[in-house]
Amino acid sequence: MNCETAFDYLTDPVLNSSPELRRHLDECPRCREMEEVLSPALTWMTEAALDDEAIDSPRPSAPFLTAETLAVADRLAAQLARDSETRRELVPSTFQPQFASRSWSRWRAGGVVAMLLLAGFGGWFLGAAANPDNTSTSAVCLWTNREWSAAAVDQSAKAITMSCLACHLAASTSSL
Amino acid sequence: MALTDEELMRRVQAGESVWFEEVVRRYRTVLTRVAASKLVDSATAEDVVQETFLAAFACRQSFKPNLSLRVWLVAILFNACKRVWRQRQQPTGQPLPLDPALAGETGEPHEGNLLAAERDHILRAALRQLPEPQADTLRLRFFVGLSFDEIAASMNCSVSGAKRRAKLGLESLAGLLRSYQEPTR
Repeated sequence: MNCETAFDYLTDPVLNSSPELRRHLDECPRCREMEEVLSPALTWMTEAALDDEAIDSPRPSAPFLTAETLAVADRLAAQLARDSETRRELVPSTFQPQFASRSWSRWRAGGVVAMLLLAGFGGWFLGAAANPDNTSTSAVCLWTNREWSAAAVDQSAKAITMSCLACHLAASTSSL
Repeated sequence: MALTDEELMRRVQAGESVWFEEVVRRYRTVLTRVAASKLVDSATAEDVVQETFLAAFACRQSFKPNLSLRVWLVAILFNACKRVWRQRQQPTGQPLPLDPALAGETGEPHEGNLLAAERDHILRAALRQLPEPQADTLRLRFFVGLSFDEIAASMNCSVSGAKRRAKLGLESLAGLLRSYQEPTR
């Protein structure tokens, strides 16, 4: 092992305890000194890399992406992209993702719809039905009223997507 | 036998959306770790990771099988994080939380008193004090497990440049963590 490879091993959370690296460090004072200097950082980074519990979801009960979610979002995105009128109402001018490289207009519409869908996927929307007094858009927004998830009854992706769209379309038209 | 990343993406590109769930399953953890390290709060990090996957799915046809899926996802994630920063105008450097309450009064090593979550919080704060290219290099190396070749490709620098960033980042990080472990009495 040369010093170049030793650095690769040192910065690999799994390989940094390998016997090959230890042998090299025993024989190479330069690398040994480097390891001593970097030791706190190497230890903390390695422990963090190997600690799966440190990245627990802050919202463990919230569902993540599923194929059904993606499929519904994709279908709606395609549908919305064909309807420029609807797209203008749905997509706020401030929503400008930076990372898509193609199908840009389709992605803009799709991204909003997909995020709305995800926001609602846990069933938070249905809490709005349980809170009929909340008539403003912000009051029925699932993303800002996540505690309503307990009231969820129908969590089908399609139902929630359409409900989110209804909520945000209402907001768009009322601001016109 | 498990499908490779490239095989998975080929199926997703062919319209079999169900396979994207496997992509999410494989990379959600590492991307969340990286995002949580770059952003201040975990909830935002998780939102950014979801957004990353959505963007990847929306742009699935642009994925080239000769590229590493990990590198591609990380590139999208970094752009999504930048967007969050721009929206919040949040500085990347955060002061290291030198909380005396964590140090204990027994003279025992300070880190022994720390819970894992607190250590994680300190490490994130320390990483955010590094120059972003150095911190990103360390995140990609340790949290995503990219080789230096892959890091160089994803950060548009040479392999030796990536290693230099890693070394400089580790030196700075070691200094910050040492100052935490050995506070002035």
